Amino acid sequence: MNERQQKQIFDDWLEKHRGILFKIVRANAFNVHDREDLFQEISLQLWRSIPDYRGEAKPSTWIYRVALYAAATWVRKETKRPQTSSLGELEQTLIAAAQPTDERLDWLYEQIGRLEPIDRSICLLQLDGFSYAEIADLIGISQSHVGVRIHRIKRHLVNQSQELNHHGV
Amino acid sequence: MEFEEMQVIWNSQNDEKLYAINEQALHDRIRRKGQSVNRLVGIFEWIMIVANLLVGVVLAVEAFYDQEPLLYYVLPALYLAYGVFALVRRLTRRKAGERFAPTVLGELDKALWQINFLINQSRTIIVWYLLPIFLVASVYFLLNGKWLWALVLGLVIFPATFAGSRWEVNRYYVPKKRALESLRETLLAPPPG
Repeated sequence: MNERQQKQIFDDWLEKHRGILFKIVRANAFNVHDREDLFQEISLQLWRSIPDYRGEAKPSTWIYRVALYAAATWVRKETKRPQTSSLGELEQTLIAAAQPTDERLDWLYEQIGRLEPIDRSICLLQLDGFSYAEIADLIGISQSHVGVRIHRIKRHLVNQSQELNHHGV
Repeated sequence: MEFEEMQVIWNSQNDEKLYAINEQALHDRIRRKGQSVNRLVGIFEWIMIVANLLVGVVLAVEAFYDQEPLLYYVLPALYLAYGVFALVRRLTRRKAGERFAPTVLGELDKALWQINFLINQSRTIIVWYLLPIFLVASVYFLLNGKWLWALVLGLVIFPATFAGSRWEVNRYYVPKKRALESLRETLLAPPPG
């Protein structure tokens, strides 16, 4: 595969599946700098993964796998680095669109972001409609393991929302 | 709020266009950073293969034309052996990279395998490549009365190379390996009770 073909596939994936990347970025990075950094890291890993893509999985599944792995390693690396919130030398590749924000969605992302990385990934997949079997295949753990985690994640999120209501926020 | 409601909120964002992508900047960034690690490893491997085979052949031909004793063939033999070894290692690395499951865990295992490969390679180079070559070269220097060079090689260059290699492993590879192992443990750990 030459670079032109690789770029063609990359652009196509970015056009059709950018939503996946945005969701993963938003669930794992919480300021402008980090979102930019994570988006670039995921894009880079996605670019590198293209020569290995054999078409056995749907592109969306492949993109999810690569992006979730990139996000998990990025989160681990970032927690050990001093925090910074300015863009600094990072070139801007993400331009935020002026959209009315849904507070409930913000809250949901905030809660997902508080889960540990593996649960974050499972939660995103569950919300995006993947079955237990698909999640198990994508992450590489057993279906029962996925089931237990999803059950706990759901319970946790519902409890958090009740707590929020209880405090009248 | 029930989870089903959260699902509805979640689905509502699918039509939103949260960000625009500066594609040119993204491509520039990828071009600069992309492929760098793999390409560097590949270039390093080819340099090791070609340089060792070339040096081995040159030294062997030189020893042959100078009608040197058999001892003088030890160094070229070491270079040639390492050139072949480096070629086999490259093929093994490329083939092994394909055997991992297409899952997040598989990606993690692949990254761990690659980091272990680099750590192992760094140690192998010291023990099975640099040490024998330095030893044989020192013997050559001693046989030719250049004892000062033998001392410099044995007491300065080899220990410095050894320390540099250990530093590289401990500074870059080991922390990365620990981080990946810890991530793997988290992935496979049973959910907290």
